[in-house]
This record gives sequence, C-alpha cells and structure tokens, in this order.
Amino acid sequence: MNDVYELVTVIVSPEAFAAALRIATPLVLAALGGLFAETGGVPDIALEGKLLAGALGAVVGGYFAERAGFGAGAAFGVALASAAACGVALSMVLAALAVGLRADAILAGLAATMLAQGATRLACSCLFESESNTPTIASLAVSTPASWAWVKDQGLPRWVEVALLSHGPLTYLALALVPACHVVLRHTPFGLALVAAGGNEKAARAAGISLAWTRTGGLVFAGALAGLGGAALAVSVQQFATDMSAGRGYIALAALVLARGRAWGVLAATLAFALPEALAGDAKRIFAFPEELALALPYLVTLALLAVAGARWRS
Amino acid sequence: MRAVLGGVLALVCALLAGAVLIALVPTLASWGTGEPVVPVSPWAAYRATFGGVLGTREGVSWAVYHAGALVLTALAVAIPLRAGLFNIGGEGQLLLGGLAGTAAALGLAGVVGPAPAPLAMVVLVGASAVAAAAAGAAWGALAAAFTRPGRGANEVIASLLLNFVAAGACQYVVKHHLLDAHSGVVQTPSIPLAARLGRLAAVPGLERVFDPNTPVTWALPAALVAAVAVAYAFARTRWGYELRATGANPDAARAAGIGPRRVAVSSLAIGGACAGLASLALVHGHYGHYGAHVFAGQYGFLGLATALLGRGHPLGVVPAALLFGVLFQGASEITLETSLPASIVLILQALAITAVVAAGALLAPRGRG
Amino acid sequence: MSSAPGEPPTVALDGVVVRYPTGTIALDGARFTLERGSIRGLVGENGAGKSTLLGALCGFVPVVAGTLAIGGMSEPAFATRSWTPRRAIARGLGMVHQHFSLVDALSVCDNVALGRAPRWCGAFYDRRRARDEVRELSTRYGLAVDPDAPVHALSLGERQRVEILKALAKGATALVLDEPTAVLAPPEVRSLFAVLRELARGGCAIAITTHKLGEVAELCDAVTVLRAGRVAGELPMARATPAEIARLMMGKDPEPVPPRAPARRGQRALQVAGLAVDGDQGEHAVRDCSLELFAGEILGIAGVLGNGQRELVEALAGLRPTRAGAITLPPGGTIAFVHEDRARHGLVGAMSVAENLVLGRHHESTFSGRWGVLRRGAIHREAVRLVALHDVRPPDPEAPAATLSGGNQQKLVLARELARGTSALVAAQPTRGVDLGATRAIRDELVRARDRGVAILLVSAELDFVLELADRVCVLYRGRVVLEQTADALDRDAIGRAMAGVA
Repeated sequence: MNDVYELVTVIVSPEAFAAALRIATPLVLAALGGLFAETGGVPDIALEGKLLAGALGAVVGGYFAERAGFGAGAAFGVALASAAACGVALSMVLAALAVGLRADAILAGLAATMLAQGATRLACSCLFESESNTPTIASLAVSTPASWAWVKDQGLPRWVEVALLSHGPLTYLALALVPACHVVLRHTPFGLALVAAGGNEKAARAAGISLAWTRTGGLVFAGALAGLGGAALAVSVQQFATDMSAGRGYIALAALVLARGRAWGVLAATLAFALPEALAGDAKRIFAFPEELALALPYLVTLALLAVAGARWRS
Repeated sequence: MRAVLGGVLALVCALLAGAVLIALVPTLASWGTGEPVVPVSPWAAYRATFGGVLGTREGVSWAVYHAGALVLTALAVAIPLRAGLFNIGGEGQLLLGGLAGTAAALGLAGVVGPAPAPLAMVVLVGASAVAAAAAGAAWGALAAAFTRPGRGANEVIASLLLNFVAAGACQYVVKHHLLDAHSGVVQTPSIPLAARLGRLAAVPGLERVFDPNTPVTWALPAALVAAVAVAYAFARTRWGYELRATGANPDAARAAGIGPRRVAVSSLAIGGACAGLASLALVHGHYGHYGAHVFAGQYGFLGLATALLGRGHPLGVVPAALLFGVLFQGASEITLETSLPASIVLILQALAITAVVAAGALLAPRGRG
Repeated sequence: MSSAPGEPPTVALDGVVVRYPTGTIALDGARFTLERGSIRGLVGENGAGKSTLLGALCGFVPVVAGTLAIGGMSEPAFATRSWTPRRAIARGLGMVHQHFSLVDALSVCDNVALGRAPRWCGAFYDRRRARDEVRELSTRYGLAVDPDAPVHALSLGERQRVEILKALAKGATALVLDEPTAVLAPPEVRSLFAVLRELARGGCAIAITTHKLGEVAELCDAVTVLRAGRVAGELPMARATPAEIARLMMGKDPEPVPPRAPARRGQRALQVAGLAVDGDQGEHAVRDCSLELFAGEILGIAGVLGNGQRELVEALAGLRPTRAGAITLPPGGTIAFVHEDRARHGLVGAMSVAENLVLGRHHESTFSGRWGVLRRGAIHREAVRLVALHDVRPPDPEAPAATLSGGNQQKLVLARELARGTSALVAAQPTRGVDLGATRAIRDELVRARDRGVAILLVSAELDFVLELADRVCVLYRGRVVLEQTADALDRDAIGRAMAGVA
C-alpha cells in the first residue's frame, strides 16, 4: 500500500509531468509528421527511420557547424535545419516508392526505415570512426527558460518552474506545432486537398487535385517534423547512438491510431505513452522491477492501449 | 517469368547502387577523420566476395545455409500474406523460438544423457523443434489479436512493437536464467552435441556438393519440405482455401461463414511457427548456442524481402531465398575483404529490400484505367 | 426549347472509342449531342456503355479515339491524355456521378470548394466565402442543403444535391447526370426534375442516363439509345414510344413476360419482430421492423436505397449485430443470401468459377474429405452441373470469376445460393448492374424456386421488378415497414408515396 501511495505521489509530481513532456517531444513531432502523411492517404511506417535520420542529421549539422566556427546558437539552428533536411530526404525515398511507384505503403516504409538504419550507421562510422556513437556536440545542449536569470528572479511557484519552464526549445516548438498543424489541416487549401486525397481519390482527382503532388507534400511535412523529432532525441543526450530511436517511431504510429486524425488527439496520446517511460525509473525503484522490464514498459503500455483502442473504435 | 527476371534485375540494381555507395564511402570517411582518401574499388570488392560465393564450393554452401533459414522466415511471411495479413513480427518470433528451442535442448540434456546417440538426437531435436515452433506460433497468434477488420495497420504496428518486447524478454531470460558465465558475453551455454543437426556433407554422395566446413544441415531439406507442404496446403486443403478466400475478398469470405479471426490466428500462428523453426537452422545447425549472433541476424526482415521476391508463393520463395542467401553471404564477406565498415552489410541488405519492393510495385498489374 | 435550327449543337461527341484494360471494347464509335436549354436522355441496358460515354465526355474515362466539338468549335485535347476532368470542367462540362465523388470527412461547402478554394490573406482557406457561395447557389437553383453539414451525415438525395452544386459552382453550362434517379423516391425524382427543367430554362444543356423509360418520357426532349457500345437510335421525344425505345435497346422486340402461377403459400419460414439494427455511423438504420415470410411465396420489399435494406439483410445474415428485436427461423430452417454488393459479399473475383460455387459449402463432406483435403473432382463436377443448369457464360469452371459479366456473375451467385437447398432465400438488389437477358433469367429462377416451395424475400429498389414478381409487397422507409399490400390489390401510387415517407 505504501508503494502505491509512493507511486501516486510520484505520478502527480511536476517532475514526472516535466519528464513526460520531455520524453513525449520526439513522439509528438514524429506523430504530427505521421498525421500529415496519413491524412493524405500514405500511412508512414518510416517514422522510425526518419527519427534516426533526423538525429544523425542534427549531430552532423552541429558538428560541422562548430568546426566551421559558428556560434552556439547558429550551430543549433544549423543542426535543426540539417535534421529536418535528412527527414525530408528519407521522405522522398518513401514518396518515390509509395506515391511514384504505387508500392504498398507499409513495405515502402519498412524498406525506407531499413535504409535509414543502415545509412545512419554507415555515416556514423565514416565520419566519426565509431559505429555506435558520436562525440558529444556541445552546441546541442539547450538552455531552458528556468535557467534564465530574469525567470529565476520572478520567484514563480516551483511547480510552474519545473513543469512548464524547464524544457528546451524543441519541446516548446512541438507544443506550438500542435495547433499549427490543426490550422494547416483544417484551414488551408493544402490541408483540404490532403484530406480529400486521403478520403476519396476520385473526388480529389475530379476537383483537379494532383494526388501525387499533394501526397508528396504531406510526406515532406512528415519528413521535416519527424526529422525534428530526431533532433529532439539527439538533443536529449547531445549525441547520436545507433538505433537510438528504439521503436519510438512505431509508438508514434500507435499514438496516431489513438488520436484518430486529430492534432490534439496526438498530443494526448503521446503524453499517455510517454508517462510510463517517465515513471519507469521510479517504478523500478519502488517496486523493484528488473531492468529489462522497465525498458520494455513503454512498448507494453503502447501495446495495451493499442489493443484497447482497436477494440473500442473502428480503425 | 517476368516476375523472376524483374526480381533478379532488382537485386542487380541494388548491387549497382551499393557499388556507388562503396565508391563514395572512403571519401566520406576522409571528411570525418581528415585523413587522405583510401579508395576502394567496388568492382574488385564485388569480384572478391560475390565471385567467391558463387565460384567456390565453400561460398555456395554458405549461401545455401542462409537460404535454408530464409525459406522458413519467408514462409512465415508468405502464409499470412495469402490471407491478406502482413507478418512483420518474424524477428521476434525467431528470437523466441530460438530461446525456447535452446532451453528445451539444454533442459533435456540431462534426461537423455545415457540414451543411445540416435535416440537422443531425435528426442532433443524433436523437442527443440516443437518448443521453437510453439513459441513462434504463440507470438504470431499474439500479433493476430491486434488485427482489425478493414483498413488499418494495427497488426503491423503491434508486430513491430512485439519485436522489441521479444528482444528485451530474450535478453532478460538469457542474462538472468540461462547465462553461460564463462563466456563473458550474454549467451547461453552450448547445447549438447546430440542436439546438433547433422551436416549434409556427411551424407555419402553429398560431400562433393557441400563443403563439410559449412553448416549446411538437415535443416535445409526440412525447410524445403515445409515449403512444399505449405504449397500443397494452399491448393488442396480446406484451410488453404479459406485462407485464399479471406485474402482475396475478406467480406465475401466472412459472408460465406469463414471466420476472419480464425483465419488470422491460424495463419499468423503457423507463420510464427515457421519463423521459430528457422532458429533451429541457426542455433542447432551452426552456432551451437543462443546469443548475440542470433539477435543480429536480420533473418526476419530478409525473410520478408524473400517472400516478396518470391511473389508470396511458397515454392517461389525457394529460389528467392537462394538469391538472398548469395547476397547475404557476399555482403558479409565484403567487410572481411576490404576496409569498409560492417554497416555496409546492412545498407546492402536495405538496398536489396528497397529494390524488391520497387520491383514488386512496377510488376504489379496496373489498376483499372 | 432548343438551339435555333442551323446552329451547331452545344456539345457534339462523335466516333468515340473506349477500350477497357482487359481489351474489350466498351464504346465503338458512339456519338452523342447536347443542345442548350434541352434535356437529352441516354438509355440502354446495363453494360451498354451509358456511364462510360458520359465519363468519356467529362474526362473520367480514357478515350482511344473520337472527336468533341463544343459550340461548333472542335476540342483538340479530347481523346488525348490531357483530357482531364479539370479540363472538361473548364470547358463547362460538369458531371454528377452515380457513385458520388464526395469526401465524407469534409463538409458540404468544403467539398464544393475543393480545388478552387477561396483564400484569405493568401495562405488560408476562407471557409466563410465558400459557405456563402453554397448558400447563394442553393437558393438560386432550389437545392436545399446545409453548407456546414459533414457529408457523411447526409442522405443519398442530399449528397446528390451537393454533387449538382459542385458542378454548378464550377460554372458548368452542360450538366451530365449518371443514373440520378437510382437513389431517389418518386417524389424526390419529381423535385429533381423540376430543378433540371429550371436549369434547362436558364440555358444549361442537360443529359441524364436512366434505365426507367417512364422517366425519359416525362423529362426529356430527345433520347439517344445505346446498344453494345454503339448508338442504336436518336429520337426526339415526340417520336419515341416506350416500345420503340425498348426495341432499339434490345435489338429486337421484347419478349412478353410469361404469367406465373398463383402462389401456394406454405409454412412460415422466417419471422422478424421489432428488429432494430444500427448502421455504420451508429445511426438507427432499421427500427422496429417486423415481417413474416412463408414458404412458396415471394415477399417483395420495395424502397429507395438507403432506407435500411442493406442493414436489414446484413442482420439477417448475421453479419451485423442487432440492437433489439428477434429473428426467428422454424426448427431446421436455413436461409441463403444473395447480397446486394456481389463484388463485396458475393464473389471472390480472383478465384475460379468452381471455387466460388462451393464458397460456404466447402466444409460439406461432399467437397471436403479427411484431414481437411478438398475433393477437387467433386467440386469440379458440381461446378459443371450448376453452370449448365443456370446458363452461366462462359461455361468454364476454371475461369476466374472476375472475368464474367455482371449478369453472369449474378447468375453464378444465385446458382450457388439456390444449390444450398435452404428453406428461405434473401435476394437483395439482384438486378443491379445486370443486363436485360440475365435479369429475365434471374426472374425465372426466382419464380421456379418459389414454385418449388422456397420462401423468397426480394429486396429491390427497382419497383417494376418487385411489382412483377412479388406475391406480397412491403415498403421499407427509414428502417420501418410502412405498407403492405398483396399482389392482387396493388396501389402503385400509395407505394410510391410510402417510399418517400409521404402518408
């Protein structure tokens, strides 16, 4: 009973919320990207690969920017741009297969992911002489608002500081992108065309919409957003490690299933998935789980929620 | 016929793309390290490796060894595919099957110790096979629980996540319950000799065909028998008929009284069993224990590509598996023959899979005009 | 009112050749003309090429050869790859499809605005202006619809109105409608015709396809008859009697319908009491539906598509859960089903004719032996027998079912279901997409089954077919049975009113 009580206090603590938000950031970005792809009618199984590509892109971008003498802020910007670009590049491969050649989207996504897995390892070992990880990139370290002097001077309550202000720029970007994506999908001609392309091909074609260009456009968004998600991964540890995405791309897909096509649903679902990982360390401590179970917890929770979601709603 | 040529052409394109990459890698490396470029000739690399694989008895034998396992993992994909389902969980099914088979062999080692060798072999291999198939089948059936009628990639997502869960679970079990403390790495102790599969080269008459130093074992004919059995089942049995109907038109099949849940579970379970059995070729046929090598193989995903190349036909996967076996072995040797990093193997495999997917799309009958 | 004599017709198609990917010729040198301010009917039996011709005109179907002239000026892009729907609408040719091309997830005004969305500040979609446009068109042409309603919630009649609005919003001066009355009850048909006449008065050129000759007589100024991909005749309405049109459609005089023996009613074969079934969106598709079916009679259920027929049949078949009520069969009673969507529920196109003929019976001991091995010889023999008995063409048991024509596919499904030897048979929309010859054959099969004692539930939106066959007629409106009449006391007007929900 004491254990449960302890767990509950941990769950409702601002630290847990902050950790969940931090862990959810790459998931939110990847899932938003996947939302664009899926709305257009191309389920994006390659999110996993895009996360990897983006993570490596961020590290490589930051590394070369530092070597070229850029300042910390500029190098960070280069890193983000490079991450998005890598994600888009992988999206183009997926687009070529799934839109251009009309290959099955699932197979194309798997192929693209495997290409990303191999390519990131190869690039890593070529550029950094180690297949498994890269040196840390200082410019990827982020400063959080909570660390700024004038924020500290305000004397805000602790939970505000910890839960809301102790995040890096990518987290705030991810949160801002949720309503932004909603606006793009519901209130722009492109979003309308995308919904049509995914909803009724014949209607879209009859309206003069080019399925190929619209879907590719959706995939570009997917690649850029998921690439940024990868950057978030790299930023959290300031380096790249092989296969560091560890299935998060698929968790993002599961979040999309729960979200049922709504941008806000994406946020809710990814937080739901991120919470177990945030609590894994504490749960392990309190309940004495073995290490491997704690690591497997995110996948198990995702599977459980996926099963429930599938049972209650039609896909 | 067009399909076969298309597939071969696809693989050739993949190799060409790989060649370009190989030519570029040294340049890339020099960017990073700042050292001068050490050029690598793709043609020389290919000649040394694929030439060796295709030209020597040893190379061919290794390719055939890989093909044996690939036939089974390809069947794992092809069987549910006929019912309209994607089995992406082959990696996890293979891992769990391998663990179960190894555990069975290790567990029964004491029991059959005093028995005569042939009997011991039958018992150990038989028990391992049953355990491996059962574990793979259970994992496959678990993925079936996530299938949803209509569109939706739920079982794909679930299978992929289950792969991760399986990997974690197997790591845990080996590390905490089956660990070979002497080896210093995470792997099980070696299975008893009686549990090892006999090499085909030992059969009189076959020593000229297969190199005796390569692990081409009885797993190969077993895999071929499995492929033939599946082909027969598809064409001639009630189960196969129901599978084909569900895959071709799930609504009509359901209206005719063929339960979609039953078809999904049976096809994924039998497919999973095949993937589980593939582990026997690796553990009982080659490595002799269950450890890192089994984890790293990628036979599951390559099985998917093999099934695609074989157009989902149980007999078609056999030549496809041979092609991929050659690719696998050649790619693995590249790291030995040249200074290229090991990840080049992964890239070549990924290029091959991409090429097969692209070829499949190009060759598919064009939709209504 | 039509164009002044001597003036070139508004739209003139000629020599159109369309080929299916399988190689069969769908249209073989067809021609078609439209005049400003007049309504032309395009008739022909199922499979003659009506939808294909309209689709070719408006850029939806690739054309191998042919010429198109609009207002006398030849259109060079026609019969080339650049003749797309977008091009066609730019020239004023708007098409209203039989199966609506609307995006369910979007609202009415979004669908109408699709492809030419009005913009706000350059980058955003100005939904308000789109909404206003829909309201304006709506009142101008009398097509009442709520601009913000999501399309998936609209009835079939409302969706058709949106389709028409779409075409008008894009500036169509020639409006082409493919089987528009198939989804409307008789009073809704009247109001559609009023709208079309109003449009014609305003200068639009209108073409509609239908296979109900009565409608052609009521609405059209002229009629073109297609047969097997060619034009069999073009007549002004004054000279077009139904008999003449039917003769042109079929190439010969229609055979008289043979009289059938009065029904010999037997035991009750099926009872439905207070049935309630939910539709795909959770709506109440079937509410409090009750009916009784007896052996040796045909109970016809008339009703416009979309009033719960599909859900009722699916519930009877066990494919859809029921919310309330009971379905009772007598002990030992069994039902066979001919579903309304044969491509979806009836046949497996990729499998052979023989394999389709044992679908659902494959577990019987005749066809399936020990260890689950199929008895191929028995299956083949049964296929040969059924194909001959029911005149399925081509009579090749190994041919893939997808290569058969619509009529032969339906005969195949009917053959299979009758061979089950059940006490009851439910036939849903059995003549949909079926040519006249096969329709006749199906009619005869159903009568023969009835005379053998099978209880038949015939669900069809083709009122003529139902009235021809049924011993008792019910009308299904919004999920309820609202009227019941016997064959000897039919009041066609009352039935029509009931189909539209008018008391």
